[in-house]
Amino acid sequence: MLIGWLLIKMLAWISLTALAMMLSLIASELFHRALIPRLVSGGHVSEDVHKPNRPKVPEPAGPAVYLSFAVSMMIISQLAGSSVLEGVVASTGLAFLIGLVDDLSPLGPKTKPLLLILPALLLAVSGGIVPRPYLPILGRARLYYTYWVVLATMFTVFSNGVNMMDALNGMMPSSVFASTLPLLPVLIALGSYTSLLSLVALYGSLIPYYVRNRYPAEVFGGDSNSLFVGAALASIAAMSNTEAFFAISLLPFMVSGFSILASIGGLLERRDIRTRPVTVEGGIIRANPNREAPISLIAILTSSEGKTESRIVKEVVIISLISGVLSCATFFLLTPR
Amino acid sequence: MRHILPPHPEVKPMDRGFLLAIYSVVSGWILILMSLLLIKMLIMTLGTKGFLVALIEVVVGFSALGGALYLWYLTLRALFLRVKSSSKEGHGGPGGT
Repeated sequence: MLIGWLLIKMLAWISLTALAMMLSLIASELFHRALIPRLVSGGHVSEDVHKPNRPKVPEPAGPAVYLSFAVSMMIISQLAGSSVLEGVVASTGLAFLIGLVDDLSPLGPKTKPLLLILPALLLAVSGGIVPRPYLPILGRARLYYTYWVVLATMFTVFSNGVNMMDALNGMMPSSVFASTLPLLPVLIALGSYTSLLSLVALYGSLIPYYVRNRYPAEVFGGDSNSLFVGAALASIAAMSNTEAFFAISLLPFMVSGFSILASIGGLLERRDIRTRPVTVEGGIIRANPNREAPISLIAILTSSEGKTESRIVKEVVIISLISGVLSCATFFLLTPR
Repeated sequence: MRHILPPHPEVKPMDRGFLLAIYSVVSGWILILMSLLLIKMLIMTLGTKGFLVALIEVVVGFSALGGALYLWYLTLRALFLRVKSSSKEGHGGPGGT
């Protein structure tokens, strides 16, 4: 009797997860088809600086990615009767809006990280977050006081990390897939199905974007896309209490973000960094030989030899997959439950 | 007498940039685990009772993580500069990200 009930419950969650994926995928495809011609006709284009002929590419595709995620989540939250998903939609929506404002009129380098605390606050007041994260080695912690600082920091760090990773064609979505796919068994093992279907819905929204953003890119996401994706990952981590495991799986994102911050000595906008981390010549990207040039993940990868954009993205995907597998292994082998 | 053979045309030199990127991720992972191990040792030594003790544990834990993160960055930077300076390829062109 009990096994039968559990089986029905599991089947219901599998169906909802599949539905979330299909809804966001179809909506994202339709929104992309509607948005891109409008961006071109409205003159919303940016130069692809890593190509020899510097083609103009429509930007931002963030609205198509976020809206498809929101539509899917709103429908699923009604079907699943889960109000925490509405909190996720609101929280990620705020991050998306901050990114959209930044796309239209750049925010200051210190204003943006501070503003990204607001989506964390919104998620916290939505009431679905329990401040008891699973930690490797330590097990399940009770962080009733410090958790909220960690949550705000996580939103800022994840969003900026994803933003820093959105540097080459297809790099951000493919590395998000590679680093978070190994976390699906973790979410299943914890029975955190709301997080699971949110992550799968995020994949559905990102697939049509990835198809258009991979080399050679037909569209750029902009900050509205990268800040939304970072906030979505932070929300999913917070809902499932797997903050530490998401942080480990997103280590390549942190390496890039932290190294740039440490090497330029503080918060600066990407466009305000005077000495660029890499140089581009004839489609070949190399680490800037200047010793004072900031360190980024792309600069590290090209420190020994010049590489094409596609090769760098493939290597970033391999590194992201390694960190994802490390995270999954940490959960199953080094975390008391 | 020492003979140095020319490199085999099919043998590609090791991609040290890629290895350095893998090192950065794996060492970051070890650093997180070491910090958590330190916190576990603190909890086992000091216990978990009392706000002040908990506060000390959180402050020491975060300070250890911050210090280790800075050491990690210094090591990564030193290795990065060494690999970059030993690269024999030409450089030039406009800047990117």
